[in-house]
Amino acid sequence: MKNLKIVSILFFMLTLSFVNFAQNVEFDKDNFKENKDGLKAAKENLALGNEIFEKGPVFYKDAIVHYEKAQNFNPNNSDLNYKLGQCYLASMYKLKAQPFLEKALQLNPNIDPTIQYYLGKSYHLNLSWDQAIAAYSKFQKTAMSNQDPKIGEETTMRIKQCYNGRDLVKTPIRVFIDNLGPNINSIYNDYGAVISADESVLFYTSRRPGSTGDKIDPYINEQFEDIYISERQADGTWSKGTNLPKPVNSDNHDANSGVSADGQKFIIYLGKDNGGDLFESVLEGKEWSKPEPFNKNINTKYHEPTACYSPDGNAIYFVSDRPDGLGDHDIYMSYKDDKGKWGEAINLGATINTKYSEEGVYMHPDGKTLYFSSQGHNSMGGFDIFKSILNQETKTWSKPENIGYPVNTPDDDVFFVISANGRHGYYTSFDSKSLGLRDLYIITFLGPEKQMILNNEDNLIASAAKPVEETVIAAEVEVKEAQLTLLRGVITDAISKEFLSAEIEIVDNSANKVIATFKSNSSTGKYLVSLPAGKNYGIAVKKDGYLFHSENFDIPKTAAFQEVEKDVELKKLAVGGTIVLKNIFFDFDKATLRPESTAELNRLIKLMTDVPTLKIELGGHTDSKGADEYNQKLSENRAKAVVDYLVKAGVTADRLKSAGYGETKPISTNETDAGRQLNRRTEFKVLSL
Amino acid sequence: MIYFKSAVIGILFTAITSQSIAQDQPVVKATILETDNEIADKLYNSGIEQFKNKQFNEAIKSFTEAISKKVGFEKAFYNRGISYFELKQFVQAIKDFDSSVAINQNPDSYFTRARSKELSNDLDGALADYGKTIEVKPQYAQAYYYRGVMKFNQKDFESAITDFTKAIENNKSYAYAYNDRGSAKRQLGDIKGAIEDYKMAVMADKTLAFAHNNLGSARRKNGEFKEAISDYTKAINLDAKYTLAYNNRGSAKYDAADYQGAISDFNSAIQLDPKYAYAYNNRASAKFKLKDYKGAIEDCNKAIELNPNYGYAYFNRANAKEIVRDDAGACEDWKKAAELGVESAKSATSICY
Repeated sequence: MKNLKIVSILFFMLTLSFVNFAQNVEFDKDNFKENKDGLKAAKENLALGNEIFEKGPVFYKDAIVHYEKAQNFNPNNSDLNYKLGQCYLASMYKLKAQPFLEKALQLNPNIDPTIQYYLGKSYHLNLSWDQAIAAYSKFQKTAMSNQDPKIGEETTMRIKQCYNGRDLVKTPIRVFIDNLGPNINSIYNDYGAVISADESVLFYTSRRPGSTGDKIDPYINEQFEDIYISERQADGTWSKGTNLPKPVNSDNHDANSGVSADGQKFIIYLGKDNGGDLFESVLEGKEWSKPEPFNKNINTKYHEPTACYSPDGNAIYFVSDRPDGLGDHDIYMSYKDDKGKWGEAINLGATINTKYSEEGVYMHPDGKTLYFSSQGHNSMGGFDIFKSILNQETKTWSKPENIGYPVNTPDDDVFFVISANGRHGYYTSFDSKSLGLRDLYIITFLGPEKQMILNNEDNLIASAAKPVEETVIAAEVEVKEAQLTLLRGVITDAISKEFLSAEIEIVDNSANKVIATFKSNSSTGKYLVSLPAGKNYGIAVKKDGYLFHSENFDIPKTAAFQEVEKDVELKKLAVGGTIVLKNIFFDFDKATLRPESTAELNRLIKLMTDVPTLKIELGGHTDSKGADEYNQKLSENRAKAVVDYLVKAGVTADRLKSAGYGETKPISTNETDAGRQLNRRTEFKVLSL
Repeated sequence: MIYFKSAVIGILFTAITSQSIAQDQPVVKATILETDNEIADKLYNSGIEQFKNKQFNEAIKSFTEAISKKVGFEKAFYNRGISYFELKQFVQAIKDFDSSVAINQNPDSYFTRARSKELSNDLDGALADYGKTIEVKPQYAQAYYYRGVMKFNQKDFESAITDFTKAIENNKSYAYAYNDRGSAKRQLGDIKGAIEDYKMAVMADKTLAFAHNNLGSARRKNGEFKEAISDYTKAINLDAKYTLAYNNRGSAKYDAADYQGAISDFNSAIQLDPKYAYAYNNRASAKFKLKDYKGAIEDCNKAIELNPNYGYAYFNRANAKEIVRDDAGACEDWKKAAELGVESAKSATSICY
């Protein structure tokens, strides 16, 4: 059973060594057997440190040097780590606290639960918002937090500050922060810069050797404060800061506060009497006057640490912790009356003042923008710098606006002043760029990020981007070229076959008009006629002593070019001779002569006139279609119609004979249209001469 | 009074007697006399062939002869007019269109006369002729379109939109009219309407690089950077030498905080056109965002060298100089930019001594 217990303890320790990295190591001789001297010295340092530590937080920073020595000897003591963490938190080097506190808790998870409060603070200062909130929340559950309502409330405020901070760091303001350099700063504490409106004069406070009286304040173990002045030189740099001589600076603490816009007077804080009061010194020639206290409306037995002038000098804004305020220190103002007397103090009210402390008031040269520090509003920790704008008409203040990270930090940010054009701010800070302890810094405000401007262009108008001239050409026309029928042939005597020079007459039958006459060549008998399409042509070939020859050509408009060979044999005027009168037309199925027949009939009349002895027969012929009798009758009537026409024209009736042959004398086949067309005809036959 | 010479067909008979060659047998030959109208028509048709082959001077000759052979040959006047138009000889073109419309209210003549007047800067005359075209032929889409463009150029965007709408009503796939109506809407701040129209334009004609570009720019204005980048890419795919589109795509990438990508596009724009000041200015902006202030200043220097009155480039250079703690240089540039009318530079100079 006992064995089992040992095993289990061993197992537990083994597990721990895996989980934990180190064990708490006490300053015990058992732990440092081989270095007893070292242990002795370490324990001495530990005791020295503890002695200072016991005096309270104000002195913690002085314990660090001893504790660090002990820590070097034994870095694994949770209690020492815890104390070192607390000391650093109370020093200028707050950011160093975090690893000690974390190690203390790690070495001893059961350490004083209040460690969560300090851890919360160190995470808070390191901008580790979520870890800080977690630690503060753990602390809130401890007895200590619950016992003291003030501590509980403060923790709640700190958690709220972490949330504020987490928001504010998301939108950092754009600034350059530069150390004001060795002409202004020293390795000692330099702080509280104020400037004239034109940024030509700078007052600040320093605790450096060489101060008036050159003595150390035993309470804080630092030089007494003196006020320093520097002037801006032509090249924009600040002249070497010098402390103002007596009577401005005294052997005691002398801290500057606000300077007038013209730099001709400034406010001094003297802390030695009446709870700390405000004084004023005026530049007379080259000498600063002996500081005179403000009247009782401003200075009370309470604490009046800082003040500034309104730009016209007729009002001052100042800080006081008199009991009628809204919180710890509040901001007040006072107007100067006609007689130069400062009037009753007016609390700026709840928009500006909170239940926490307000400090470091500064009125911008515009007379309406008030800068001040506050632990309240949406501070991200300690004092943050805020601005609020006075509505000149309603005399009300706008909601204070946190001027933002990285000017504001989780630590105290105070004594902020800004140049008239808003470009430069001056404040006190301590960071890696510091020459020693706190230094003065100049902030260059870049304002919201300047938006670079891009240039673009587009092709807004299509026809300009890609011009398309959409000219439409008018359509081609159909050229009315006459389509031709070429009629060619040879004219000969029907019997002798001798070439004849005959007269060729071209008639536009529909117009009854001779449109051309010409002759065939006498030696070759050849002729060639071009007949434009679109007409019905009657062609008559005539020669004295011969029967005329008649041809009909119907050439429609659409007819294509064609050549027609037509040899014509003229028959001598002799008994028995016949010709087909191809240009005599009748209405369909009737014996009515059509007007197109006129030219042919006239030719016939002329022949009868020219040869007065001539007797002829006019014969009508049909094709075989239709009844025989009907055809017979139609042919008779048609022949008679021609005779009647001639008689009417003056040809004596006894020279003319009409005969109807019906379909009895075909000259071609009746089987085809073309054949039937040839068979339907009017013939002319010489009966006697 | 217009009269047409009636076409008379004449037939000429010629006895061709070749006496020098004994064997040759004379023939009586008849030929049709061509009418002047036929000659005119033939010349006119060959004019059209020449026009189509872009032989405009030859076409003008043909049409001129056609006009001399046939009185009142309206189409020949019109065609000669457009031939002069193609040769940008607008004075002669306008004369021919005058003759054409005197014979016949040919809407094409009015329209092309309007184009001729517009291109020879007789804007009132052009407006009147587009109106006349529409009067003669109310469905003449192009006349509405070009009148719309004139209204647009006169910054009368509402009237332009009315005309573009009419053009679209008469030609549902009128990509140019959609594009330009989109542009007019954009000028009136109706970005959503513009986007819709540009979309129609690229749908009607997918090959129009500028319409894709415009769609991109409207979307960019609407904050749709990703879509804008894709539109610009389409424009660039259609026209690999489209400098503007590279510059615009770079800017959209800048908006989308892809500064490296933006720089690559501005590089392309500069490669295509080494004198494109905008691209240098824009590249400077992207370099500024990447904290390459020296590079930004150098690019602004180049932009200013190309255009000494380039206000934005001075402003941007000032911003970069401010960050490199050259307050004096920054102030000098801001002041110059403010002088050149850059509003945001004016407030910046307030910090300058």
